[in-house]
Amino acid sequence: MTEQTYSDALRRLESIVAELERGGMDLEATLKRFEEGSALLERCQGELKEAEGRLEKLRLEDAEAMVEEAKKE
Amino acid sequence: MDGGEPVAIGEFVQSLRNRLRSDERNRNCLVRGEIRQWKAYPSGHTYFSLRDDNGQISAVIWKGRCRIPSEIEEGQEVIVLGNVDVYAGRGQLQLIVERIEPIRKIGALEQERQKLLATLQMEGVLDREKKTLPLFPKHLALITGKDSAALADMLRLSETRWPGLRRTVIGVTVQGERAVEEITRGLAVARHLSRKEYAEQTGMPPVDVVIVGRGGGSPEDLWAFNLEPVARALSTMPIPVISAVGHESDLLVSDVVADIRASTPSHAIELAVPILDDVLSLMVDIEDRLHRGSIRRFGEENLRLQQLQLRLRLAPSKGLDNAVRHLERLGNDLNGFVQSTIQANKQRLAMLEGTLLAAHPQRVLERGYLMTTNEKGEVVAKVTDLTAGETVSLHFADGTADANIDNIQQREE
Repeated sequence: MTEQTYSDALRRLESIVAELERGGMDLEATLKRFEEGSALLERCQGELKEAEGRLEKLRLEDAEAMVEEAKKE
Repeated sequence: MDGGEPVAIGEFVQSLRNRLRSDERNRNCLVRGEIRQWKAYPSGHTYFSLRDDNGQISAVIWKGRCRIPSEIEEGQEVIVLGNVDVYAGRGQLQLIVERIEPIRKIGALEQERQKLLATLQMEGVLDREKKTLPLFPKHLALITGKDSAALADMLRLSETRWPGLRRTVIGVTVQGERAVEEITRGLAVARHLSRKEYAEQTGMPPVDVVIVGRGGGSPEDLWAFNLEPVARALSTMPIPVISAVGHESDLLVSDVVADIRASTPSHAIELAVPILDDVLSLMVDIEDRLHRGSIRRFGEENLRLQQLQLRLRLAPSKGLDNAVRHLERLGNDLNGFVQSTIQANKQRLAMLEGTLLAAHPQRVLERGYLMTTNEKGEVVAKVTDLTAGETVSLHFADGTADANIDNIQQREE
C-alpha cells in the first residue's frame, strides 16, 4: 500500500463510491467500504499536502555542486 | 535656423521618399535576414519584419508579386530581393519584396538530425514506452534559460494553477555552442534529484516531473534540442520528461524522444500541473458521495433494526395470544372428548347394569336357589365351611329363614 500512487488511490476511491451508490450490499460490506474509503481519502489529502514546497532557482553550476555535495555524504 | 518657410511634414516625408526611390542603390537590393512577425492578410498582401541582431526593416510582399516558398515562416533565414520605399502615412522605411528565398544554411545539420532520428528509431528509442505524468507533481524540475521569459511564464502559471507547488529551476544556456552540453548536464542534475536516496537526504519528495524547454526561436536557436547528447539524456530519464520548445516547424528531436511534447513552456505547465482548486473540489465531492452512499445504507439498516425492535416488542404478547388461543382450542377439544367419553361410559354402565341386574342374586333366588349366610353374615358356598349344629340364615326370594345344620354330606369327586 506504501507504493500506491495518488492516482491508484483515487481510482480505488471512485470504485468504492460507485459500489456504495449502487447499493444492495449488506451492512458489514458497507462498513468495510466506508472505512476503506475514509482511509483512502485521508491518504489522498496527505499526498496533496506533500506537493507543497519551496521554489528553488539554481544556476546549473550551483545545482551540480549541490548534487556533488550530496554524493559525498 | 536660417530663413525659409518650414516644410509641412507630409511634404517632407514625400520628398524623402522620392529621393530614396530615385537612388538606384535602393533598387534591387539583395538583403539577408530573419523573418519575424510574418503575417498574411485577407487583402492578399503579406507583411513581415526582416531582422538580425544589428537592425531590422519592415517588408511587404504585395499580393501576387512573387511566389512564397512553403518553408518561409517565423524565424526562417531568407534572402530577399527588393526595393526600398517609404510608407509616407507612417513615415516607415519599407522593403518592397520582389523575390524571397529561404536560406538552407542548416543543410549539413539537417542531415545529421535525420541520421540521428534514424538511429534512434532503429535502436527502438522512439518506440519505447513513454512515461505518463502523475496526476500532480510533488516536485517539479524546470530546465530552461535562466532569467528567460519562458521561465517567468512557467513560474507564474504554475503558481496560479497550484500555489505553493515545490519547484526546482536549473538555469542553463538554451542556444549557442554551449547549449547542448548545458542542457544535457541540466537533465543529469534532474535525474539525480529524482533518486529516492537524494530525496531521503533532503527530506523532500524527489523530482517526479521534468520540463525542459525554451521560448520560440529560429531553427538555429533551437538546434541544441536536435543533438544526440540531449536525445540520449531524455530517453534515459527515470521520470516523465516534457519537451517544451516553442516552435511550429519540423519535428524537433527532443520532441520526438521525450515522453511528452508541449508546444510551449506554458503549455507544458498546463499539462503537468493541474489546478489545485479543481483537485480539492474533486476530493470534497468524493467525500460527499462516500458519506451519502454509506448513510443511505446505514439508514436502511437503522430502519430494519427499528422494524425488528417493533416486532420484538409485540412478539411476546403475540406468542401468548397464540398460546392462549391454542389452549382454548385444546380445552374445547378436551371438553368434547370428555363429554363423549362420559356418554359412552354411561351407555356402558347401563349395559353393565342390565347385565348385572340380570345376574342379580334375586333373580337366582326367584328361581328357587338359596343363598346361605352364617352367623357372621358371610355367605356360605361350601359345606366344608359348615359345622353341624351351626345356625345359618337361608335367603329366599321373598325373605329369610334360619336353620340348624344337621347332617353334612360332602359330595364325592
